[in-house]
Amino acid sequence: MGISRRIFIKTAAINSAVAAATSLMPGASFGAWDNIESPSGKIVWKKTPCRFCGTGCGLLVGVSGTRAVAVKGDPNCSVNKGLCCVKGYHSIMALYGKDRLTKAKVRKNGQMVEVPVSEALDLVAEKIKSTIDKHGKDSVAMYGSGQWTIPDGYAASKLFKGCIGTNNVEANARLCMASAVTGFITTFGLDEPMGCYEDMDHADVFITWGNNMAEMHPVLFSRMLVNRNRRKDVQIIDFATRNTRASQASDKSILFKPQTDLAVANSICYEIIKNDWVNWDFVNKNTAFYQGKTNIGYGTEDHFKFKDEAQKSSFENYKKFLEDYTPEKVEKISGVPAQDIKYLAALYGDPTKKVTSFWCMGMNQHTRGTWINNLVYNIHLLTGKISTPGNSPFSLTGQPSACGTVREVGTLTHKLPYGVVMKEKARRKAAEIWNVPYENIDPKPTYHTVEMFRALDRGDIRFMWIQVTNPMVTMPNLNRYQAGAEKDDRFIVVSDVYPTPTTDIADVILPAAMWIEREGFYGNSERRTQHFEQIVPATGEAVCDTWQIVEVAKRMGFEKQFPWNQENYIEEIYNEYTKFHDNPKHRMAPYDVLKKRSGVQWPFVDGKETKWRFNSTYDPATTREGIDFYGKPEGRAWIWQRPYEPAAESPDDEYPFWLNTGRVLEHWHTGSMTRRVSVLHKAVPKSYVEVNPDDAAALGIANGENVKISSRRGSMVMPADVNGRGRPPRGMVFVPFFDESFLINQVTLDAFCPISKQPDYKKCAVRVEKA
Amino acid sequence: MKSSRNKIGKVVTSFGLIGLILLVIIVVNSFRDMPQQVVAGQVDPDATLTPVVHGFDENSGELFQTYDNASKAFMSAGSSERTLDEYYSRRLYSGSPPPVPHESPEVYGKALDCLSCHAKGGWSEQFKRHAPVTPHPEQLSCRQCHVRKQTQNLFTAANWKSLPPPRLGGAFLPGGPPPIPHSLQMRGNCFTCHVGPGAVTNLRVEHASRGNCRQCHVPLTVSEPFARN
Repeated sequence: MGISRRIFIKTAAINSAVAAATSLMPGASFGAWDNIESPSGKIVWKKTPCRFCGTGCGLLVGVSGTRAVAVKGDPNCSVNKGLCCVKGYHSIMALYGKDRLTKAKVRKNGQMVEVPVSEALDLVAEKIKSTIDKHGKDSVAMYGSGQWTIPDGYAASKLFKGCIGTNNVEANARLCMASAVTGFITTFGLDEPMGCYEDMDHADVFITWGNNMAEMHPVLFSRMLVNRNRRKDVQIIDFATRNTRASQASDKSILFKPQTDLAVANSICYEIIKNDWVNWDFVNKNTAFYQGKTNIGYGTEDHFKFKDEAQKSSFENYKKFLEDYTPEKVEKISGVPAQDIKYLAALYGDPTKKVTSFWCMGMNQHTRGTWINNLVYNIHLLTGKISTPGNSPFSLTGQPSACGTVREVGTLTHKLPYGVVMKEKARRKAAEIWNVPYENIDPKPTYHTVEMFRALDRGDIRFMWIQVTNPMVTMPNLNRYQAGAEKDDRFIVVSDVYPTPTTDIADVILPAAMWIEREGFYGNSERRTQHFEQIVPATGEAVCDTWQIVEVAKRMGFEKQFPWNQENYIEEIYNEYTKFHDNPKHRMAPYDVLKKRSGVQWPFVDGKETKWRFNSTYDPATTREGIDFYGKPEGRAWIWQRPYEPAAESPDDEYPFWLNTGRVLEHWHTGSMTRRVSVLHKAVPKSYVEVNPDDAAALGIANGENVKISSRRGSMVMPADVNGRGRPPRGMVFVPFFDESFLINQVTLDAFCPISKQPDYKKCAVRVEKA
Repeated sequence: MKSSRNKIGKVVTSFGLIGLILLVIIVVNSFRDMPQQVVAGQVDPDATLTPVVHGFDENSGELFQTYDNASKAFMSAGSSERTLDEYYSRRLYSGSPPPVPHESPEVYGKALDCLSCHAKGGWSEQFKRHAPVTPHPEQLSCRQCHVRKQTQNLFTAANWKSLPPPRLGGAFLPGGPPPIPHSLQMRGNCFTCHVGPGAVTNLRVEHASRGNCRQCHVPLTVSEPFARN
């Protein structure tokens, strides 16, 4: 990523030009921005959660007149205590890209033509109805997002599941959080972390599992570094498949071969038991032992079905199972020296140390994602290091409302705002609150995300409405799903703020009001619900995503279920939604409280937030002293026997490299917003492929030269990055996926975790050549 | 006499030594964390950390000390030739984090140590100028906010506007002390940006030897005049 000499000279020339101009006109100021015409020159600061990742930093947006002009970190927000990252500080510039979608467009004779928004909404409603008439209710689908606000997801679920009666509702959080959810559900019976960010202020040891926090959760990473600096005896261990900025700032970096985290986690448990570091009081009172199916497949074929079966096991069985995972045996599988495995086990096992584990996509985008989540919980359960300040297995989120909207509202095919569609009680509750006939809600889940796009390709789905997401960049094995979406008799509606590869395939484009151009709520990684008011007017004719759904619902004849008006529909929807969670395990803060505070954690009971769930000192839902995992029978969390199984596709003679994909600090997801922010685009203008320097030398590739990456599905030519900010080990290449000019997902594989159905973007086999 | 003095000397020395050893043990022990079983549901109140902030409101003692320790030569040193225009040309609005204007190569296996130059400042032979000093050295992950530009091109242009940067001066009365026109969040240490050879020329104060800035310069937090309710 070295700056080329030419660019350097250019930069220097611009700087000296500025300097020269300055000397000609003393006193004139050459800011990097156009000055706003503001009569008062006043700034009003308004609170909002950040638009980007799942950390959920509180921002103060400075507003002058009708424009957002500056950002400060919100010092009242306990998440970030006044600090942001470069994306947050410049986030508001993403509102003002010159190519914002400001008008609705409809495809007429192959051309996208501007039409009034109401005409586009008429067409959407008409198309849903006619598609249902012709192909049945399960031929229409909604594909949403972890960037949906809570009311967006709630309105979508009510329209599709309650009114239309199809479970064809999915969200891109399936691609990022599904394994975290199934991990929580299978181990604890309830979704979302027991701990909170304050764990960082108490922990003595941090172990990050496949998680480059320095770039992906920078504000939390900084908090960890500050903690280490203040207390001196704090350790950060980076356990990963590639060397990153997080590795460099850690006390120790341990690299493992892709997929072998399963074996290492089991080996840590083997050592904990062998050295008798088990917290027996805790294990006897709070855990139960289970095993599930093995050789569970990878879901690469259409109509793949899998259902796990939990079988009761015992500590003795578990101990026997772990004999395959001695550090010496696992060293051979994982490449992690036995010494290092023992070291990790000793850190977890030391009764005087509080340990927090962090993970995000490394463990979730994994064909055994549910299993690896289970296995890390096993470590914390065996040692009793859980649900107490500083002792925290912590699953981080990537999107601002993956928790709030997808996991809590339940915008996945099998979910309802409370419970799952398969359960009569959950369907009855939803039918009552939604004011729809009980029979409307289908008890059978339909398609998870990958299968939904396969169904679109096959023609089982004919209509899809995509909101706040960009699947034509993010779907794995993208070639197939692009071709499927472009087939003649498919009708695609896309609501977004900028043109993307997904709006390119749309038949209707609805311009969306972005973030603080409307009122909404997000829910972050630590069970914190965050409200933001409308701070600036919507751009052009853009309409809030929630209101788009309400308008379509009304046009389809569901006025009774969508009776709201534009004055206060967000508040009304929130109040209706929270009826689903009106119990001490999930009660959410009332609207008025959320409006005032910089986010409030649930369960919110008797005016108090719950920082640590399942712990009677903090959690009012517990029914016994100490720890009570009340999501499972007898309050016992399950310790699962989950073996190591190889990846869906591993390097071989023909395709000898691992391909790993991910993000960079400056860009968020597909870059549709961050690339319109000048600072961020100028810092990382295009994607690249990180190559290990020894591999680069062996292949004769110099930094910046083009490299061809090919898999069994597709190929991509892009510039090499050697000795850049990340360094994969030999035999692996890494590509950031933000750049629509280099659609690396045309190369990736659509294998997924059979339990969570979340694809693995971190592992497939490729060939790497000089292009 | 000689031998008795020797004896007294030996006794005194050995008492002294024992005392010293005891002192060392006590001091060392007091710094060591007492091993402690992890107990469910207990929060150590001291462990809830907020970063040490280097600003007048939070830590003025530290600032006064910095002043006391700064040499006259430093206070009155020639400037870096950084101008206010250059300063603002790097920002998207007044108060936004500026990008890194120089090479900051990645060194494998090593975290980049920005603070080696930007914590205290000083002459850089490489850049032939004085390094600017950060007002928030408590933050350690610098590139979280300060990024390096690789290009001057844009992906798409933006219709971006912000308020003009605050004017210099701005005293309420002729000759009066100007108020502080910017937010003090992460920029509460006046010394780093307004004193010393690394500071922007137009922002340097002429009376650096007066350490108690906030005695005369007060934050401008509201623009409306006082009115009774």
